Amino acid sequence: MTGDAGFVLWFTGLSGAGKSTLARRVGQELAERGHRVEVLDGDEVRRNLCQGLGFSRADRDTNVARIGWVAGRLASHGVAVLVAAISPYAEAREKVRASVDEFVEVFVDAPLATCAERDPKGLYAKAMAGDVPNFTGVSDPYERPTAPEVTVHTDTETVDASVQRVLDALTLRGITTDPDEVYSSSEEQEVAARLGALGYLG
Amino acid sequence: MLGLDGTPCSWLRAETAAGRLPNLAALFQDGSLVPLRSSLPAVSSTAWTTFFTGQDPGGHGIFGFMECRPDSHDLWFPNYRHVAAPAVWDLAARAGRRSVVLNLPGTYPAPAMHGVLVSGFVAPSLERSVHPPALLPRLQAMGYRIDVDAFTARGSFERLEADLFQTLATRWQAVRLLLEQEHWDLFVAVVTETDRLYHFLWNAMAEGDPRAVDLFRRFHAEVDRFVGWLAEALPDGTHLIIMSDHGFTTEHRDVHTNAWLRERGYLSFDHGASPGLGSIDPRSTVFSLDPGRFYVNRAGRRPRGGVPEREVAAVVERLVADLADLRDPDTGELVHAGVVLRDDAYHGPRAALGPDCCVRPKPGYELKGGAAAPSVFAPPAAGLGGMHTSDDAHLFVRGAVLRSGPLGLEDLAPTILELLEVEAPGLRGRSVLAASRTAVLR
Repeated sequence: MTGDAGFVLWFTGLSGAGKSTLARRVGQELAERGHRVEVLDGDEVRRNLCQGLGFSRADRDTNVARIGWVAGRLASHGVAVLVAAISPYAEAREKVRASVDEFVEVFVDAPLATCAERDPKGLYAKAMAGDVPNFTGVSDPYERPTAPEVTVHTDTETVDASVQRVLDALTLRGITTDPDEVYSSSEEQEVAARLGALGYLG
Repeated sequence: MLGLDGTPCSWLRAETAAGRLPNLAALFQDGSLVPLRSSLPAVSSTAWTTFFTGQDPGGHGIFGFMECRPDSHDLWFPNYRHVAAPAVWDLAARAGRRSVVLNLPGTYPAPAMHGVLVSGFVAPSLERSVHPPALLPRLQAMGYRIDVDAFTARGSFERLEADLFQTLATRWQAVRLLLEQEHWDLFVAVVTETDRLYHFLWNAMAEGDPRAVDLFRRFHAEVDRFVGWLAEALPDGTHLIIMSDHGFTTEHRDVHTNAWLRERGYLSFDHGASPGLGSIDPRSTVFSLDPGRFYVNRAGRRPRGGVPEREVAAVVERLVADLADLRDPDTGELVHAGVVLRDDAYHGPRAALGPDCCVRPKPGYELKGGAAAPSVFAPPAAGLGGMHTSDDAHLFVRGAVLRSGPLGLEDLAPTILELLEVEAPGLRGRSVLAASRTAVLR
């Protein structure tokens, strides 16, 4: 199964929350598991696929829709597509979810203050000074996911821990296979039977 | 470390005081035999993993013998490769210390490690239970047994009796082989035959059944002989720890928590389907895994999950309130010893994978998570008679003064590492040794 079925792993969250970092790291792990991986990073997409789009609601929705369409097409051809985009509006994210067979939403959660302190691109400082309009979290809203498949708290977890949680979620959903999966089906039956004989699984 | 799986501290004290375990009694003169708190839940996979990582399940990720898959609600069985924290032998290896580990539950498949490891329960294959692989032929030649055959032992006194002694004999033989022929700084061996005896015959023994009492005494006499041999065989100056992962007591009733959830409206199954988590109705708000683990049926995490995140807290609050009234209909007593919320029980990167709340076991009431149970309360299953306890495991450290306060399984890895003079920051537990130990340890 590993490497055969495509899916879309959508990292959403404020700027500076850690979406790109996590997407790259998870992508590396998935590649090692045999998946064909493509990371669609929001900044790169805006420079290429979505040149000319601004940060109005309409443009943001168009940005997300385009990313979602490309991701869906890649996923339909067996690619594990990792999207790292703020994607601040729930409706737009849900439309992508509805258009893709296998969609996993990862909410990369960090408090605004933490993101602003990190400020990896210097944008928060500019936004708070009023130099960058329509900045998510400062002058534009971010609609938190209500039911993401995974939530990682990058203010309290290590990157390794967050990566592992995402991978665990994918493994437990059957989207990817743990390379160390141990039990054959007959062994699994054996394990179940031994536990049952001692009164477990009751 | 010698583990006696499931052997209660209170029982051990009584038996040694009665003069029936002379070697253990002699050892216990040189230190203190104290109760040890088990894990939550108090099952061997979780408990021994807590022992060998120094973390609670929030750190090591093993919350029970089974978990529930999110994509189908089917059960799956975690194994050693799902342990998310380093084992004490790996931490010791960073300082060049070599370990031998025999029959420690939760260590299948055998990992590549610095030393020797033979997996314990649940290990379906001896071939994948041995590191290094070169040891396998020697174990096979001695007829080494990973476990008693619980199928045939359950319900057959004679088969249980024969299997217990035979399995213990091969365990002893393997310990002797490895103790004498391997270089080691840390040696861990666990006797699990004790737990098997207790699962099947604890009730009978406690009720004074002559055959059960006699078997208990003969079997533990053999364990005591093994301990006596071990204590003599150890090189001078070896620190010796004897412990268990949980205790045992009489079971009066099974308590089927999923049946209770159905009665209380938390759980239902697809109309016409056989009751099972695979057919859970998405409108269900809570399901249970044994023993005593409760999970909110979250939307998004599982395809048949229906509780939005914003409603989880309210569901948990209602569940906790209802659990406060889960009582034996005959006696009116609570069938558990209290509810523990996830954030209070579990600490670490895997905590979010744990149950939203657990109930602590209460002696007499075995918590069961089977989805198909027709009623909440039932007598113990046929062939079984005994249950784990969570606060009556035992701990003995030869020649040591132990610190005061409750001691838990997570405290043993830090203790071992301290005795090995290996630094290991970041463990949840802390050494059981009192500050002045260097003055009293031999």
